[in-house]
Amino acid sequence: MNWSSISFVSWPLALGVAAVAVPALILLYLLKLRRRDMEISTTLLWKKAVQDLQANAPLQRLRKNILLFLQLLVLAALIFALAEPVMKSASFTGQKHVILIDRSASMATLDASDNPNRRETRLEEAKRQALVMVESLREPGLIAKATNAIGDEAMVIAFDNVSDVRQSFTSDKQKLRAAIESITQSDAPTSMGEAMRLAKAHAPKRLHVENNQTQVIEGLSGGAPISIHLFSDGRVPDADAAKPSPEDSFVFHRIGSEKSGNVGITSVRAQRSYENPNALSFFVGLQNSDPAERTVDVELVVEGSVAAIKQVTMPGATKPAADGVNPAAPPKPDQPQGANADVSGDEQQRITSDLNPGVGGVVFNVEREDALLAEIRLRAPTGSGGDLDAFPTDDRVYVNAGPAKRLRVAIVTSGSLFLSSALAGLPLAELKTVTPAEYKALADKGTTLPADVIILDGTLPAASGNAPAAGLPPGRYLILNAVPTPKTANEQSPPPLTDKGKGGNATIVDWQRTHPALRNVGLDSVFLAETRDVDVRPGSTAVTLARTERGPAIIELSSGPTRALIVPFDIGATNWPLDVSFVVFLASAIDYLGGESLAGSTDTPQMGSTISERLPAGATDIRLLGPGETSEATLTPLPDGSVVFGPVRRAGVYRLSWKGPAAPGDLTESSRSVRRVPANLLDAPESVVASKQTIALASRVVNAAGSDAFKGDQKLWPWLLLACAAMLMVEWYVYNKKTHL
Amino acid sequence: MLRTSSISRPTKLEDLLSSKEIARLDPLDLASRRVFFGKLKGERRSKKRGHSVEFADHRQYVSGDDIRHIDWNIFGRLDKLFLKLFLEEEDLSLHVVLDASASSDCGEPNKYLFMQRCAMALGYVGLVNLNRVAATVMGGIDAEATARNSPSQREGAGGWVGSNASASSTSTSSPPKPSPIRAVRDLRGRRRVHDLARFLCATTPGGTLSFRAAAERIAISRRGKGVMIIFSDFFFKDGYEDGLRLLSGHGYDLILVQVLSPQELEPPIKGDLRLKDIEDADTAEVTISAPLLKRYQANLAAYCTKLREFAHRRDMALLTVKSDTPVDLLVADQLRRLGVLK
Repeated sequence: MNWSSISFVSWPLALGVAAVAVPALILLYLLKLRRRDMEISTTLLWKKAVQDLQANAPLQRLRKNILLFLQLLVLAALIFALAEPVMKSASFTGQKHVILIDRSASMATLDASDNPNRRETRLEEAKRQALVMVESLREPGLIAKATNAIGDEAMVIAFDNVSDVRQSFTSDKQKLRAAIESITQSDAPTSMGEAMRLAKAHAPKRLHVENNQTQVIEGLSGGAPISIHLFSDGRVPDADAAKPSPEDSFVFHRIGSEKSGNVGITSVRAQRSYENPNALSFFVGLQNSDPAERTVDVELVVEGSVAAIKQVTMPGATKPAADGVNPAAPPKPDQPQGANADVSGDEQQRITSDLNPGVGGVVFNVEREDALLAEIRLRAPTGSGGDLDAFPTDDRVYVNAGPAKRLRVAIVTSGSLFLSSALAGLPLAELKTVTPAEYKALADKGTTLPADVIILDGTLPAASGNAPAAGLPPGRYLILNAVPTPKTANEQSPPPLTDKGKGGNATIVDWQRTHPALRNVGLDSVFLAETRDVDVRPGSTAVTLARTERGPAIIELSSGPTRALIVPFDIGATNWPLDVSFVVFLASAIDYLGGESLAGSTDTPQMGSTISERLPAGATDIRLLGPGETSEATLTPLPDGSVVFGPVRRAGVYRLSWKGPAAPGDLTESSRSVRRVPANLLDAPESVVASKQTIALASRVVNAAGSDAFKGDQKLWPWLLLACAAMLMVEWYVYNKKTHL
Repeated sequence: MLRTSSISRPTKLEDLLSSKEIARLDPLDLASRRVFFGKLKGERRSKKRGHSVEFADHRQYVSGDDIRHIDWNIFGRLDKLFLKLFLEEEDLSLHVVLDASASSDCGEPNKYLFMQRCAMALGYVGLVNLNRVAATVMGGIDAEATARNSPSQREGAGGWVGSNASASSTSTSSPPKPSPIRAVRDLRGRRRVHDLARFLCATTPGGTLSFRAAAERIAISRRGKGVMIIFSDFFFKDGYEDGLRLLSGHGYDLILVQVLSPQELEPPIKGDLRLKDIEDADTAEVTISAPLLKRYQANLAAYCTKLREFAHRRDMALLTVKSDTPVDLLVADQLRRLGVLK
């Protein structure tokens, strides 16, 4: 036992009690000492014996009295118990502690326990260590409680790529424990920046008092420095952005093994062949962070049955290039040395945390016409047995593939050579050309064109009462050379788009290259001889996708069941139709608009983000069942007919079900339409699960604290009371033995 | 060590010795490490040539010799007059001394009772072997002194000798006082066994004792030579050395029997005590602890060792016995090994 680790919470009280009670006990004992008379044959020998013993000890009768000795022991134990001794092997200097618990996907790795029979996730270990730390916080003593003093305070922040404060600063250990216990595993990637900002925001601010006016000085922390305790595996990509204050201490409690290799799926995409929509390809990207070469079986499971198995061998992870920055390079000498101090030679080879993972991939080709939900999972090669790796989250992904469907496109035009010739080359199911008059006639009859996408070339449908929102009947539109100015439901608010007439020449200077309709579209060389100036009201349902120096050039307008891509200028007055990008844009836009009508997108949402799904018009009683959940949540659709849920924290398949019509690709189960939305981790940095020995913050490099960074703040007073009771029993025994001759 | 809680005082021989013990004592006889000349013919061989049936030697006849001792067989063979010499058989004087101070009246079993029984056993052995037996009690209270009308009626052979004998004749109603010594002398023969028992039972231990004064009295009043056996705990505050010095010499074979109670060897006391000396009411305040007990026992051992060394220097024999030792074992075994009995 390290006696220096014992501290006393209420030592002044104990000192006071000791000053009164110990002399009192001795005095009482001296006063109360009564001797029994006893006749003996001779006192000759006794006197001599007593004289011998008393020769050098004036307090002889006190020293040799076991009863007094026991009473003093009992009293000492009681006084020590009053002093509330606590034992800890490491004391924290700060009065305020911030407990950051990483709950990201990599914390689900089952390597926290050395015992192979008791597999424990890193999050469980992190929570356990955090609970121990909470126990080690100093509590106010008896006297301090009476004077309203407080002990150490702590706050609990759980973070993956978003952070939430589970418990703000408190010294209530019960609350802290409950907050830590309530943290659940997430499959989202890691980002610590927000957590650090939250921690800073909750730290006390420095106050400036002048003329009785108290001012908070932002950016300067006040009060005692805070200790930030990070319970993580160190896989924090944005750690270098975290900048704790210089006076604050930062303790990194490393969880997990630095030797954990992992094989995981880092990307997946389902794509139908452009030429043959029935040919469906699944592209799977794999990653191996193990230094050794790994062979895995990749299984494609389509609607519950295995459709294909391929064996993939991935190279082992390699050392990064020599000029790479090694964040773990020189730990500062003032930092506590972690367990890596004596790692050398072969051991270093096994530390996989700073290796570049080996990558691999596999493509599955299947012939499927229908929409489907595919599961792709990794397995240890047949016959090798055992688990694939300790991190199962990225060994399984789900992906939706839309139905093999060709689109029907209708052009409402008074004659456009560019459009007809450009669309003629696309693999469409049907291309129908109608005049504006025919289109109006159909609209007047209350019907619409039987097409997935309607291209309106220089014309607009007459505003009708049933489409107040967008000024367009429900459907998908590509509008060229026209600007719909729909009235909003609220007459007071202006419409999302305002047509300001034709303008001068311009070039397209910026566009959203990631938008599905503009992907692979180069608009650099497009020159507009005549623009059409449009105002897009900020905050409306209209989004500018491309802009000239004069204003928006391509706009997306979505409202409820209506979605439109608007190219307001006359393409005839540009060189665009002569550019290849025009055909690509047309194809992408038709694909985008038409694909929107299919159930689910093939893009899987990122963990930790929200998922937005557009449901068919008339969907009611919308419910969501997340992966691993047993009870459904009820969702309310947004005005544009989409439902938004999230942020999604667990990988797996989210089931949306509603009453009402099903879109193509949706399932129908017991009179309810069902859409399955897969959510996958697909995060290459997160799939490297080997825990890091050091964490490089912006201002310092922090080594992992040793495993004995702290032990429980063990209260010793119950033991002292127990000792008291034991000594009382001994005293009772001794007393009885002494009095019964 | 502690005063005996309840004791039934012996009143007669049967209280002191059981018939079984007597049977074990019968074959024994007194011996002495020295040879003394007795007064009367006894059953004890003497160095003196005398009249017995046991042949010792021959010597030439000189005129004046008793012609009845001439060995006529030798005269017939050698034609010379030789006298047959026989070993003289003598009696031996046994003197038993008991310490009847209050400190003897302690222990479990009672030390004085043990002394009484030992003295009776030795006296019995002496009497039945036609030795002269004397018994002296130092200190104590003569319970019968007040009851006796004529305390000096047994003066003389086998009579009572007491320092208070004359005093009690004048003031018989005065309460019994501790006397330095009381003695009975010159008992001889089996018939006097009961007299000895009565004498031993007549004294109740109590009071203080000056061992030196008592020893002086014994030394002055004793007659002849013989074996003296002193029963005491030898816990005398004024020391035992002077008294023993007075008794040693003068031809006595002195044997000391130190009687200690088991409680004195291992005191069964605990707690905070005021120990009171039973004789002089001196007190010692003690808190019994293991070191104190250890110290006490060391002191006791040193005291006994010192006594033994003193005894050896003066050619006395010392035997330290516990009061729970069986009397016949002590007499028939331990004293026999010491050469007191044979």
